[in-house]
Amino acid sequence: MANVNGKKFGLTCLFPIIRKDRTDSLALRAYLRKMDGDPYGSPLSKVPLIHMARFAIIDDLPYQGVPNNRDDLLSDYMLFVCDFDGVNVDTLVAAMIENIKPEVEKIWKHCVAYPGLASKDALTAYFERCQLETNLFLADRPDDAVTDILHALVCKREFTQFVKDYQARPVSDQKAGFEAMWERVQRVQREQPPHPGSL
Amino acid sequence: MGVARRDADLADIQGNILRGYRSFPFARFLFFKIKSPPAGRAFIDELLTAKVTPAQWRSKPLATTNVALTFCGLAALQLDAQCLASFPPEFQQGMKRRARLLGDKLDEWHDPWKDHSDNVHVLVSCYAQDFEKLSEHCRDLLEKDGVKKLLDDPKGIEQLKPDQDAAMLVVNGKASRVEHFGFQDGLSNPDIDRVRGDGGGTGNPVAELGEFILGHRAEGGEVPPMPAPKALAWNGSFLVLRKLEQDVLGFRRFVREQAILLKQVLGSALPADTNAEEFLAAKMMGRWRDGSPLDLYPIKPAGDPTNKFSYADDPKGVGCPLGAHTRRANPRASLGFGGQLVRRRRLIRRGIPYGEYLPDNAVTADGSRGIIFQVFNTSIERQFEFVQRQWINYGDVFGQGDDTDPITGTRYRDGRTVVAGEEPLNRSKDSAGRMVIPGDERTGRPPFLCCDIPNFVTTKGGDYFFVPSLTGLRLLASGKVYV
Repeated sequence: MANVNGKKFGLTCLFPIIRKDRTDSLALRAYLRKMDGDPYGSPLSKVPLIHMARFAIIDDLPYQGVPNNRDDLLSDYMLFVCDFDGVNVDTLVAAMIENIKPEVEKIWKHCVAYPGLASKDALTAYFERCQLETNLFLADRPDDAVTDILHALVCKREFTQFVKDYQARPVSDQKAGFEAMWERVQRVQREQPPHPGSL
Repeated sequence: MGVARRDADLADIQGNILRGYRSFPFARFLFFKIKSPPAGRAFIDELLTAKVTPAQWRSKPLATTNVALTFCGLAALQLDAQCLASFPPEFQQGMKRRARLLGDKLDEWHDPWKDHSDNVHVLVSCYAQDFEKLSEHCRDLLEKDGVKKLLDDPKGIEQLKPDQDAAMLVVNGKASRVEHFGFQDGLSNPDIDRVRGDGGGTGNPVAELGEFILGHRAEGGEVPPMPAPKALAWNGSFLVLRKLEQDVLGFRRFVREQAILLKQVLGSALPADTNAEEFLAAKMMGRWRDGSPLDLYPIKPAGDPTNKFSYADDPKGVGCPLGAHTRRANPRASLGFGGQLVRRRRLIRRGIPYGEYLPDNAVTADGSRGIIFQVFNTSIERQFEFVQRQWINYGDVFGQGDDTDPITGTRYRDGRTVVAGEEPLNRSKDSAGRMVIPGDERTGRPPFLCCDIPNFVTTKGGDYFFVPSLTGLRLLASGKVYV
């Protein structure tokens, strides 16, 4: 399947926005604009399987050549692009309902035919209906889950600090320092794994 | 395939773009504000009468004059709205509105850029063979009857002070082509198709003229987008001028202190007869102080400031580290595909130092010193800004994560902290100033991690300029710019 690459799924959806004098479009735009105020960069960082997500409002498709004819859409659209760990849309929808229910409601309530949160299957079917057929999904690290990448970043940070502190020290000190560093990395991973967006 | 190549019209293209003014060691940059469109047009006409220097001359002048305008300058001439709208967005915005993208901090800027307003409309660059001639040339220009009248007229033009002087450095009593950190400068300019280079052909792949001069075939086989009308843009170029202050004492101190650590780490693996400080400084720069490239001379300098090398045989950075300044600024074949991936990011550099060279034994530094960095390209966004953002202030494509250029990269105060109220360049909390000097498995030299690198170079001002051809300047002076 073209939108699966290794352990990752690349979702691209276009959701039509309710058209009532563009009230919904404006409200949605205002909400999306504030999302990066979240301490971790986005409320979507609370969904542990999301690598990357982007929203965009598409409100018109003006043709810029000559003659300059306007090409109006029947409604505005919300583009939602998301890479996540999983093999189908259901995995993402379930994780979003579990972790960011209020945010899902605040965003998708502005979209045409949004079924609400009562039924996960209905919401999955809705996402699938709005999904675009895509191909050539390029994933930077197709076989690494979000947790793997966060762990690697912790390793990188700790290892860099270790090299900085010990590169000029005797080998015996380096060995002890490395063991302490490695134990610290394991402990962080075991007891306090980093939150997405915190590194 | 693509559009046909044309020879460069060197009599129409302004000087110092395709051929540098290396034989003019003294420069002065004058800044002007246009107070009314007729005055702006008259000023350009006066400059043309005084003679704007083209790329080709019959006999070498004692001094040169070149003219460039910011977008605000073009707007102050009240050009047709369609003409103004046809200039690229990054040029319309100007450098200070792009400051965050470039990693610049506006509160550190000097006059005439300091007030952050859009006052700098016209840049007049004068170069001369000696200082007296330069002063005389600038005085003659400013005291020319027509110019003097415009300067005295409340609706004329205003000269914005201070002027910016710059000159080739004098080191140990001798004129030298080094910059303030002590490295030979201006060595890596591209060879351009059908244009004889400053020092003759280097044998490197030539760059298409259209990467630097508007209206000509570029690397994609196309003529890149250019402003309208064609008569205004043709044979013009875009200039990025930046006043870059160099912290010479800071650089020397850092190299001295890190070299002690380097010696401890490398021990006997440090190449014999190699000074650790020179070794470290060269690894950060990518060339030895005498200009010899590490790619060809990884162990010691050879007095060969050649431009013919590609990094193709050094994919791990054993000779020249992947994060070294010259390798970032012009990665050549580092990214594979025979260097094809960098061919749309080439720049012509015409930097000239300002301030006095700090003696090697100096313990304090009076005054400001650095370089008036000038690059020419046909797309500021695709060329200069890409290099600055992706290659200098970020390093992922070179396998350097978010480590920045060790010499010119922007780092926050301690490499980790974001200044209050400022948007971070990147969110990572461990984006310290840092560079890996890879080890050498053949000789057993261990790797070295260069840590806590402070800022050595700070932008103190500058802007984006359009450099019209002589035809373009005449058109602007005529006021008949019709789209």
